[in-house]
Amino acid sequence: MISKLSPTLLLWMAGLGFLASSLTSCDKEETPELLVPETYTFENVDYSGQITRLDMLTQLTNYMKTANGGAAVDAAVIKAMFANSGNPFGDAALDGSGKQLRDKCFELDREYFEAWMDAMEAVSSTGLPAADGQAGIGTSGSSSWVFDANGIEPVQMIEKGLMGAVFYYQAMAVYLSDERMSADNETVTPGTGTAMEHYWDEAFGYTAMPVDFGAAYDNSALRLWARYANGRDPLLNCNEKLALAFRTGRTAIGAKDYALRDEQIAIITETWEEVCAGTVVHYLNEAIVEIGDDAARNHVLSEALAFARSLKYNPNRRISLDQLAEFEALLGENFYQVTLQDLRDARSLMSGIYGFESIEESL
Amino acid sequence: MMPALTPIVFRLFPALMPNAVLLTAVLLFPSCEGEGPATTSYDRRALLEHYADNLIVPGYQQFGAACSDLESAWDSFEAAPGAESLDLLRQRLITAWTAWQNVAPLDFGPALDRGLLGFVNTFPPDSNTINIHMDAGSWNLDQVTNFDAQGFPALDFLLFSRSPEATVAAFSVAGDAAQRRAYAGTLVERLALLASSVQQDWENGYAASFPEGDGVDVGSSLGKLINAINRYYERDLRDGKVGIPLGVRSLGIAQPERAEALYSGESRALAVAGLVAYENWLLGGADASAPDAPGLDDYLDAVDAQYNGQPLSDEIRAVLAEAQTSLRDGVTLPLNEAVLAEAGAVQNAYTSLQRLLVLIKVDLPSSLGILITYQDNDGD
Repeated sequence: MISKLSPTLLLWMAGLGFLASSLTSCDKEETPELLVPETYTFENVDYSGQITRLDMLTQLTNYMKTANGGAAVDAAVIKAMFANSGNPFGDAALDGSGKQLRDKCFELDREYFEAWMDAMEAVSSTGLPAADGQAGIGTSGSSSWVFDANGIEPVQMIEKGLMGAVFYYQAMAVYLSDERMSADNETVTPGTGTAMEHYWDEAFGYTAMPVDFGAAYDNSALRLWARYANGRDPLLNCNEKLALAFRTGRTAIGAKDYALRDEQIAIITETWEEVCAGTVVHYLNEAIVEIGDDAARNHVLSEALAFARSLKYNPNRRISLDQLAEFEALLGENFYQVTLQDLRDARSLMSGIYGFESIEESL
Repeated sequence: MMPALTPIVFRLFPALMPNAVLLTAVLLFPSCEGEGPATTSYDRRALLEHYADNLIVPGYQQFGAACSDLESAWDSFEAAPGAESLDLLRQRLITAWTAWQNVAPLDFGPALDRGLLGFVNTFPPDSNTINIHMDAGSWNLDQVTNFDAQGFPALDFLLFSRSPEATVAAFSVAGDAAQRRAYAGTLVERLALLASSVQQDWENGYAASFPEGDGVDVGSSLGKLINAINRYYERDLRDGKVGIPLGVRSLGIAQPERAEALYSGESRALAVAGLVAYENWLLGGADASAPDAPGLDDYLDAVDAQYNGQPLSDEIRAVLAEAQTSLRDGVTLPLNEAVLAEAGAVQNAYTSLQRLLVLIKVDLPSSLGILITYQDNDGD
């Protein structure tokens, strides 16, 4: 039959055939059609343990913040909440959860945070106004915060520090690590999925993102890392990047497409770090604007320092430990002694590392 | 964002390929929230040019000149301390302090980069630290802890806290007169240098590039301007000049010692001057001589911004006038005295100031699509 066809016709058929196949398959590899859902909706998703820990940090922070209204707080109580020992929350869902923040906190820094908890107690009971060399309460407008003698706010060091040392650390260094991402992806446990799927969901849980997270989300519905991502979203477009990467990665795992999964891990790693670094720059900007107001400046500088210290918990971080040390040296040990130039240099340092130069003033 | 998104979508939805062009168009030109009224053709660039060239640069030039005049009055006083030279020096201080009101709200760009607001006008002055500096003969005025030991408030303390005769004596024949002269001289020089630096920053480039950021996004020039003037109005004008001395931040207990210009008694005059100067930012400096000068009020009219069925610009003008009247005519004493002797009048003024704040911080920005970013909304 074919021998009856003219060479020209054969050529046309071949050409059309080639054209047809190239129109219907734009990929050289045979990838299955993957449908990434618009929300984080999959079978067998359970990150309740992560939500429990988010709740624990929220409660712990609320307790610490009673000091801002003049209450004396007890380090033993904060530490008990940290370790979930002795029913510290007065809430059966948390007390009886079998979860804690402490054992998921980066090991080498557990005592560092407990030292800040001791400091928290000390600053909360002076009954004095905060000043250079004197711990106590500093007020700006209708807000008050408690500071140590160097103008550093223990609440920020603990809250933002634990956001880094527990949530960011667990997601980046544990759940999305090569080790966990090599886990079994065949056996489905009802309710939690495969081991690999479960680790992925747990990483997602630590972001505090709602399942329908996306650009310009309602801030009042957010907390912890998701809230800070939302704050940087206008300039970094991080909400959509993170939400889509998590949804795509979970879909990829379901399809056993590990190359696609790993691409999402790279996006998550890069974007979450940018949220953290961008937040440092944001608070430096606030410090520059509030530079003459001791309480306001020291409050936002404490946030900047705490978020900066959290950058180290990502094993694939862009910033080096030397650069972090340089940053801390610019802020100095006493926030009453900073200069405008120090703050601007710290901002330039951070912006330079992350490529924020063109937006640094607006972050 | 777009490059990362596109390949995934096409890999995941190969059937979309034929519609690639349409999909690309949809992906590449999303509608962004916060872009403001999309249908206006208001010339923001012209507005920014007018503000930069006709309000801001002249404002800084006037301020720079006043600080330079202050410096020459200081030189004369230092060379020949006496009643006349002190009188001129005091006058020039108040003139410069008044000229400051015209540019004080512009805490963005060069002024923010150089810390102008903090260095020039942090009050009340810390007389303790000032005395320590003079005794020690050394100081670091860049440290945040010394903002309240320099600038106009410190000079107010140094030049007005005693009678003219005693002041002249303190600067000429007293035992520590030399240290006193050294410190005051440093403060005056530093003021003049900061003023001229910011002025030059604007003249030598910032004024030219300011109109180029003519969007309404975070980081646009209009965004920076509106955020800065709002922050200044709320924190430094409404609270700093009036509210805090009145007692609104201290459970209703007046804090007269926290008023501006305590020693010269100029707090009321400076507050009035500040509020009058603030008009420029809202109305674009439009007056009888230049009725068509574009201002934020015109922009509001162009987008048909309304307030209770009336143009928002009308409401802003009315409340601004009311605030000015309540402060200028309702309060007669310097604010440190008025918060004790005429507390009701000061309270009225504060109430008017508060009404204006709501209009310029909520209604104005939302009508123009500008995001107010200076409030720490992270829940702390």
